Amino acid sequence: MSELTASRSAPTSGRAPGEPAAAGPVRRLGVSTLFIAGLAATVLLAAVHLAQGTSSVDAADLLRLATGRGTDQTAAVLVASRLPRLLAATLVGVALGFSGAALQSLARNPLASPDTLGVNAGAYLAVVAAAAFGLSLPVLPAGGLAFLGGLAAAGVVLVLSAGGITGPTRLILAGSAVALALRALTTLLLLLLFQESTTGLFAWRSGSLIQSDLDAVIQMAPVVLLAVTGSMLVAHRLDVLALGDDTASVLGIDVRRTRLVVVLLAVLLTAAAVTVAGPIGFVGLVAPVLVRLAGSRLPGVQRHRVLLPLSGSAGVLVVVTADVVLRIVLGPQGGVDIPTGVVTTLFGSIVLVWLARRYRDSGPTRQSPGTGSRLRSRQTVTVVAIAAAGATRGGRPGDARRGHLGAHG
Amino acid sequence: MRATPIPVLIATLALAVVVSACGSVEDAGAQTSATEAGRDGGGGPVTVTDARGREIALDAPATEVVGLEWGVVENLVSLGVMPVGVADVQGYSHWVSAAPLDDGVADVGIRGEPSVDALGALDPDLVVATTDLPTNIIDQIEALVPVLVLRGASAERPIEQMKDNLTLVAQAVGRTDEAAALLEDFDAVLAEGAQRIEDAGLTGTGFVMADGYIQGSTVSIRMFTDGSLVGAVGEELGLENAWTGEGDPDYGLAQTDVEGLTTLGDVEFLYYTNDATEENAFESGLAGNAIWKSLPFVVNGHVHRLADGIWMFGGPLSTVQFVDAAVDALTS
Repeated sequence: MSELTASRSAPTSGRAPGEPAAAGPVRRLGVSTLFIAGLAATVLLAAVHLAQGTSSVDAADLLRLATGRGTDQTAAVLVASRLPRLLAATLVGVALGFSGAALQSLARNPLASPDTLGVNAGAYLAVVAAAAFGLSLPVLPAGGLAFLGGLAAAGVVLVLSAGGITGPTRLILAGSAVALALRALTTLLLLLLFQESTTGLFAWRSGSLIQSDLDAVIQMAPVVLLAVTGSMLVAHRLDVLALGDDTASVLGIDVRRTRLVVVLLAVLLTAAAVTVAGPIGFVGLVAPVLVRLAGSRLPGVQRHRVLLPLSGSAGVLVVVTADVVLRIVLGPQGGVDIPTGVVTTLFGSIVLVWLARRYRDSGPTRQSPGTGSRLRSRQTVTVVAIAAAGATRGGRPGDARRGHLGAHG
Repeated sequence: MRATPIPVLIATLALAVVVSACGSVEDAGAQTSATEAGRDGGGGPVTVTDARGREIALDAPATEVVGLEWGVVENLVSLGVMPVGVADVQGYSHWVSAAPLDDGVADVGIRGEPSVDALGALDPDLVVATTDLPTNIIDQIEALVPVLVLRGASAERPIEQMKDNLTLVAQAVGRTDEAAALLEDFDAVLAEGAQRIEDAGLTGTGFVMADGYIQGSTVSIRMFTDGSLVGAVGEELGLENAWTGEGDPDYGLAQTDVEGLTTLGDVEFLYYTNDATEENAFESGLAGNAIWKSLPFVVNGHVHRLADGIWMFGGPLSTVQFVDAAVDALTS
């Protein structure tokens, strides 16, 4: 009897929006397999990463150290150079992975990222501007400045794209244009900086993970943790938002406030990453795409409580891989001369081109839920999806536009 | 189609203003050249061939000269020709103490991007620049004034390049005797320094010369290879440059991080910084760093900070300052 009631009430029960009705063991197993596989790959690469560097300390030395037969010098190199670099990579990867996934969901477009929306460029410009005018800021004020810069850039992008009313394409175009302008300004300021501080002529590098102390990582870690927690708390709202603004509003989500919160969190995460390592480009773009690709047969991946942490760990994987490959290909000196950001940007631009070709016609009228749309259509188990099916299928042309107008009105 | 909202226009305009205000190389098309014959300065027409292989013909040795790179400016001042304009006068006063400028030398912008307008207003006989300046900027200036372009430095022959540059500038301003005297003094100081090193029994001692730069939690260290001017001078003094990595082809500088310093043994570690413009990367940036504290030259107190204001990319006067400072540091 009770069994019957349960099964009958399942499709219409008052579950929280976005919470799947049937998070079966198979899917949970699939998602956790993906997570564990990613983690294992990261740990493996991290071990290689720790054994790379400009000193002669290699894997054998580190093994000796682990077994208590290492030298003080080896310990110093591990503690004062290798670990800070790995921790910086981890922090930056998590921050950019979360930020990218959140922004892609918000814009309903896989082309969205801290890079293509100008957030990265804005945050970096703010930090460079301070340095160019002779301000040597401690980590937290520098982070605050990066946050303001990223927020200002995001603000300009939103104004230029009229808040995204006309759809994701315009948002991305505005973002790319603003990012280009900001990068040009940064280059000019760097020119100025070279004049002011002559030693910076060859020393200023961008997007490098090399750390001489743990200050930046330690002070930015709580910020990232806070923003990551915040993102997880609004994750279910992002699930609902993916169904369209109209639907989300109908389901009781304050669309405007949710967007604002998510933008603030994404900018905060990006600013933290920029403060630690400079602009490590396109990690925020690539990480969520990798997750969506790897998890394309796992419907549960689309849920933001899964997608966000998976993107975070994919971000770590991307950053560490880029750093490891850089040193394998160009040697330890190459790791100093060439910023890691160059490698991620090269890789990221390839992904960007691939995505742009694949989603050539991703206007608001055809693919409002972005990459998720096709994957999601297989997943018809949630109450929300069933309830929303009519609205999204029937009313898809232009529903994003109306939703936004509603949100702004 | 929506009309473009006002805020969009404002934002676009603001951005455009900011972007255009940052460029200091203005269009120089409207300016006219005003080199006139028969200025005082002594001597007849001068023709010099610069680093581009171009012949610069002057009716008389130049007296009103603008220097766009500090090494060049130092050369001019040390030859007794006070330039009428210098790129980044304030920076020069911080970094190049060997040959101070008179008050009233005009600032013509930043070194990498001088203001062509400011240059035109000074109406000089000659502008001396280096190959570090982009050719399009050199071309713009050349439309107004003859430009003598020097190679800033050469990692293949660092000391010779420094001497050649002084001689070339001296020819253009008609001060070749002064140049010869300066170079003679330079050679004498170098020989004297080498003697002091030898007397102190330090010949063959390993040394490195470095500077550093802090950005956030990252300290970048720049090593002066034996292709750099002061690296080569150290070798001339009888010391052994312990940094064996390769530098850039002009200034002979190599990049490393604190971990990279572990490849050095117990060397004499020389560095310079400038309190007026930057944080000391070695004292404050690396003070708490475990690697730095474990380095043999740090443990044994073989780290020497050279005085501020010695320009490591300068002419004979700056290099003499370096010789004295380095020898003093090692022998005291």
